[in-house]
Amino acid sequence: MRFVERLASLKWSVLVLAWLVLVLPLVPRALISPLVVLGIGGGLFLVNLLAFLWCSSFFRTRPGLLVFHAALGLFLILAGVGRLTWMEGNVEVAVGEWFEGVPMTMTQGPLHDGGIGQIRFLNEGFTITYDVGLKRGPTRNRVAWRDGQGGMVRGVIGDDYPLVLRHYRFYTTSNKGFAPILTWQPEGGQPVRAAFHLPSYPLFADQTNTWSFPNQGPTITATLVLKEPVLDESRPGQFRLPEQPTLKLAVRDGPEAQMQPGARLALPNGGVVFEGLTSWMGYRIHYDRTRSWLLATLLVGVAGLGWHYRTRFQARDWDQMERGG
Amino acid sequence: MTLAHEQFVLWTALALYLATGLLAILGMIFGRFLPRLVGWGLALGLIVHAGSLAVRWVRLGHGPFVNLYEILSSNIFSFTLVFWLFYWRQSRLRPSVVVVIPVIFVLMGWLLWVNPADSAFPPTYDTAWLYVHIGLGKVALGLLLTGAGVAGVIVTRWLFGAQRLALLPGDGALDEFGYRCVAAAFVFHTLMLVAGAIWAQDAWGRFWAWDPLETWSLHTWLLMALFLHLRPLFHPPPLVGAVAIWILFVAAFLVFFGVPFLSTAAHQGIV
Repeated sequence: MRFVERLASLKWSVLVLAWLVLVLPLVPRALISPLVVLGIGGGLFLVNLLAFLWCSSFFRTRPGLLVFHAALGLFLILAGVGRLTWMEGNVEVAVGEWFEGVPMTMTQGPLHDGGIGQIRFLNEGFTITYDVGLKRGPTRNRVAWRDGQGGMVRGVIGDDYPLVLRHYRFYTTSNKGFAPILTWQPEGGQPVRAAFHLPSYPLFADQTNTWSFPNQGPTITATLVLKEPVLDESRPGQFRLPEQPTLKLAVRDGPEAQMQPGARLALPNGGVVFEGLTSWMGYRIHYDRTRSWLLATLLVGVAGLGWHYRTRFQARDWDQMERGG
Repeated sequence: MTLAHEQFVLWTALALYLATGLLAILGMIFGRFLPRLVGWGLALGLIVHAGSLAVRWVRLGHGPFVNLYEILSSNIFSFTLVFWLFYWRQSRLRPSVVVVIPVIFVLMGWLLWVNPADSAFPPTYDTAWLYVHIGLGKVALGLLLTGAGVAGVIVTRWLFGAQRLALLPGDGALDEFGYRCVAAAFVFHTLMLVAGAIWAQDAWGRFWAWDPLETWSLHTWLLMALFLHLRPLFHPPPLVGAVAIWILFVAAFLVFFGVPFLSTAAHQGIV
């Protein structure tokens, strides 16, 4: 019992806070993650709080303060659960193509259930306005997905209006660009059609990228030749496809050609057709089921704290006393 | 309305603040402090300043919190407004204006050096939560400034003798008032963090990312929590409490006006 009483000391609370105040901003992130620092501090706080609740009647006369501290404890527990089940990732989807449940990059908590594999949505195109100096305006991305009955549902998302499917949140990003649609026609085989993503535009002026077609198809390097800038820095504009796209295509250890949509580059074992040009959008993906609960917990806690201070400060005028508490 | 019109209105407001502040300081030095006149001077400055901010808001189509010029101007307004509300409601605190107004003067001087160029409103700022987040932060910082004002009185008395600023209540009462300001600032700072997390969730898809501004605002929150816990544990004398409140104010001030200059994260604050 004496051990628990020691754990319940306010001095422990002060030590935990002092630890967080000193370590959080001073220790290099490469050495220790802020999450670890907060996790240690939060764990000690929970032990201290539980011991204090067990040993002391202090909170019985201060219900508002009890609500705040309990909410803070619950917040830390929820945040811990959130970190175990969270997921974050990125994906690029060309206009007219479906997201097939596979992010390009992904980090996740150890208890994340991997449900993203069942998510599908269609990128139906986007508009982005630009102000003078290439200042990006709002992105409006039309997307479609199937509801529970198999019907198509359509919506518009943006940088701050996500598509939410099974608690996965998809946000558009500044990362987007052009995508030539190419078809590899192997002799005696099934054609393979794919949209290849060029570097992000207007971030990268050089619109060159190299890919390999699947199933031992050729490796190609494609450069989109922009005869005039799609976006003019000196006036407002809108992200759009170039009017007459020209693609410079080079096959590894093979021929090169400048191609217009519909053109075919013949190779010894087949041919590559430049079908046309589309665009692609980069999405951020976030998953955290505890978000709403964290918010509710904090709001309840702050309400408790406000109630506590209001009650205490109304009970005594500040200028009628020499010492408060 | 052009930038020149807006600047003219702003400079008028700053001149009113300056004249009122000098009137208060000189009145205190020569024993002729005129609290009603000072109160009306600050109120008039606030009205004119609100006009300047409104002109810019209408002209640019967004609130004054994107670039340094706008944040400085709106913070001078919010600092003065929060302090003026206490000045109006707590008549015994009015002489503390001579400690608070020099802080406003420093910000005014800084503002005059900053480029007033128009700012562009990033798409991620187009949410009501931004206004809530910034509004709560301004209230929290304004409360800390008011607390720092009375704490400054305690420090002034210790430095220059107890008879200084004798119009104000005793150190014990000022200490209690400063504590209450920190407690209220703590509540608003917490709400500011919550509103900011909601905004960040919408703007960047995550409610917390440990970017420098987030980390240091949490640090200020922890500092305030430490202050609120240390007080009942050690019952520090008013002078120690006053110094602690100034440390809190400086820490919070640097979150607004220091960290954004070093940060390269998307959550830039004032740069």
